[in-house]
Amino acid sequence: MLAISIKVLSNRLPGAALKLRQQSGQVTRDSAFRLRDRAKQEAPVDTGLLRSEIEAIKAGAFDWDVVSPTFYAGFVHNGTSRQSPNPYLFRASIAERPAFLDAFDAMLDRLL
Amino acid sequence: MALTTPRVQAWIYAKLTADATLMALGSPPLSTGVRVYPDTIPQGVAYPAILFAFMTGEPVKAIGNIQIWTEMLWIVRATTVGSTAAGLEAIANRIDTLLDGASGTAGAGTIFTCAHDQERKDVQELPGGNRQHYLGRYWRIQARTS
Repeated sequence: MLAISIKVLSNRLPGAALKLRQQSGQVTRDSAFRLRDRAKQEAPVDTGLLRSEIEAIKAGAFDWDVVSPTFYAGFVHNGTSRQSPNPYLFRASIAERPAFLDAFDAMLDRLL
Repeated sequence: MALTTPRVQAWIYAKLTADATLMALGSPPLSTGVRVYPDTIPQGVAYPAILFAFMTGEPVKAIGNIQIWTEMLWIVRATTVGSTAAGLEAIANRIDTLLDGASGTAGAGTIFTCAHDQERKDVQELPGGNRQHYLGRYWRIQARTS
C-alpha cells in the first residue's frame, strides 16, 4: 500500500483573519488619501476653492468616499452647455486603481 | 492605430438623431435644428437640447501592446433653460431606451457594449435669475477602432 500523509506544521489562517480585517481598512484608508491628493492635483484652479474642499470621508470599515463638495464642482466635473467636462475625480480614480490593487496584493502576501 | 473617441461620438450622435420618437420630443421638437450636441451647446439655440461628452477612457491591452478595446465613460443629458425641468424626463427616458444595451459601428469604430451607469440631475443658476436643468446619466462603453 502506498500512503501519503499531510501534516499541518504551521497554521497562520486564524491569525490572518483578524489581521486581514485590520489591514484591509488601513489599505483602503491609504488609498482614499492618495486618491484625494491626486484629485487635488487634477482639479482645475481658479480661486483654489474647488481644490481645497476635496476630502476623503470614512463611510464604513472598508469604505471611504472622496468628495468634492464645492457647489459648482458638478458643473466643472460633468461640464455644462458652455463648458466641456473636466472629470478630475474620474481621472484620479483611474490613476489610483493600480496602486490600490498592488497594496492589497502586498498585504495578502504578508499575511498568508 | 486610430483614436476611438471620435468614432464613439459619431455613433452616439447617429443613434440619437436617427430616432424619430426622440426627435419629436420637446417644444420646439429636437428635430428643429437637430439639437443634439457633443461637448457644448452653441449660443442662441432653442431648448430643450441633448448634450453629450466624453469623460474618461482606458485602453484594455493584451501582451505585446495590442489594444483589445477601450473602456470609456460618457455622459449624456437632456437640458433645458427655464423655471422648471418640464419635458426633460421623457427625453432622458427615451435616450435610456435607445442606448442601454446598444451596440453598432461608426465608420472604422465598433461599439461592443453600451451600459447605463449613475444618473445625474443638476440645476445651474444662470445670470439674470434663470436656471439650466440637466437630466441624464453616465454610460459605460466598450469600443475599438480598427
